[in-house]
Amino acid sequence: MIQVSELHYSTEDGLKVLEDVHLRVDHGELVYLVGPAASGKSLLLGLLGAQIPPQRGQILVYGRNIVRLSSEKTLELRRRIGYLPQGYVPLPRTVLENLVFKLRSLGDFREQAEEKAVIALEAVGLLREQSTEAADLCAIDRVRLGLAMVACDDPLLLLLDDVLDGLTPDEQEEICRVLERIHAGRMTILTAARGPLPRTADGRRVIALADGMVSDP
Amino acid sequence: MSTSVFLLRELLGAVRPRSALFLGLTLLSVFVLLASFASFFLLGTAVETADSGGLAPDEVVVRLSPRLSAAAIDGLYLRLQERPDVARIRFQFAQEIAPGETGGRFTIRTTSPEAASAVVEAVRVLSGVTSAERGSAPEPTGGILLSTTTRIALLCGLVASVALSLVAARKGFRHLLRGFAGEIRLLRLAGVSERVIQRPVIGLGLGIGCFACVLFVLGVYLLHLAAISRAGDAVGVTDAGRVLAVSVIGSVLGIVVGTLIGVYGASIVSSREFRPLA
Repeated sequence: MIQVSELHYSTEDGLKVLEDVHLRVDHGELVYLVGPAASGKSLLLGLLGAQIPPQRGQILVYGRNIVRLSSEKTLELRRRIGYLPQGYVPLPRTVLENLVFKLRSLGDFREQAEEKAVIALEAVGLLREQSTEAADLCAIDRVRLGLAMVACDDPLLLLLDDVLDGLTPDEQEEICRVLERIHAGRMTILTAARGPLPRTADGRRVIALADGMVSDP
Repeated sequence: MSTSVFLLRELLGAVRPRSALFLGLTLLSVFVLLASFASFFLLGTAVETADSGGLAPDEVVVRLSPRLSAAAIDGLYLRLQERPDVARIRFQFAQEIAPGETGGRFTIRTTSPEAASAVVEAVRVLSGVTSAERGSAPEPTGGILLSTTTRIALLCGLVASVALSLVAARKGFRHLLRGFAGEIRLLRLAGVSERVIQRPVIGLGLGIGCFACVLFVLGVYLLHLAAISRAGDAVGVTDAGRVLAVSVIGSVLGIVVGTLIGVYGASIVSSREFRPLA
């Protein structure tokens, strides 16, 4: 599903952020990528989500090497990956309209978009808030909305960047339960977190990232 | 509804008073540009030219028989010069006029166009004169004369309106797109192509151009109606064919300018602030 080998990435001023990263995530896995701030988690997710152009190495996502993809194929791949960036800010619309905007931009008709949006909101437990302005949501509900946004068009892979950040331990537990519900053994999810992880995540595979190096126990 | 139309509607929904002000100013600038362009062809007075012989209405040409002696030509010259209605007289030999021409000619400038007829009548009966003719009244050729000051003013109007439309469009689109930045970042994250993202912005520019064209055509038409009812000096506005041609060319120009403004606005979308992972 995801296979990363010999991945290197340096900043413009020569600072090595990722160094010889090797990683494998199988289809249907829910994996936590844990590491301190500025350890390269967001960069790694950006590279896996085809949001940041890679420099050196090999990134295979569903058999496609991102390093060699044309811009058209890259866009095609992005449409099959749900990428939730760190510090996600919803659009200044209602919860439902946030999802409908995304789905309609991807070509769905209004009815179809609303139907998919309702299913996604139900999955993350935000259906009752569908008419609420997204700006009025509390922190955990914003994360729920972000999860619904990335999951609403049924992607093959979810890449979630620091979704637990800024939440209370109870809220983190709740978000991990939501992730388990979305995952349901069929969707591949890679979640970056600063750790420590809540107890709900126990039993799930954890990959540690520190100083640009991956350790996968 | 296609994605582009949907996004154009969403983009229009993001218009706020500040962006509306600058986009309105852009529309006005395009209109001024079209109006300045049209003024070159529609305003001004008709250019007046003389008849086919190149004679002014107060001029008379007298052709002489080739048999006239030099002394007889001198005599005629003196007689004509003595007339009170003759202001100036000039003789040209046949060789000076054209190859193969026989006989010389006098070109007489009379004191007024009215005097020219009397001179023609008097000269025709003289011995040795083969023909005498005067210049006819001027006829408009369809050309339009604009004063240098007007031309410079119109040219300045054209340049200023182009510059103003670009400045206003940049500010207007920047304000508008800042209010739509979250949507643009989301579209990029979701894998929507640049072409699809930029198309509504170009569409909006085209819309501004088209709206300016409608105002322009309406303005030209009303001016045409007003001009024909008053029978003014501006012959261009009264000429229906010319008005139609200027309207069509102006509309094409407006659409092209609007599209270019849209492309200019779309270039802002590529800037760093609209990238999701900048």
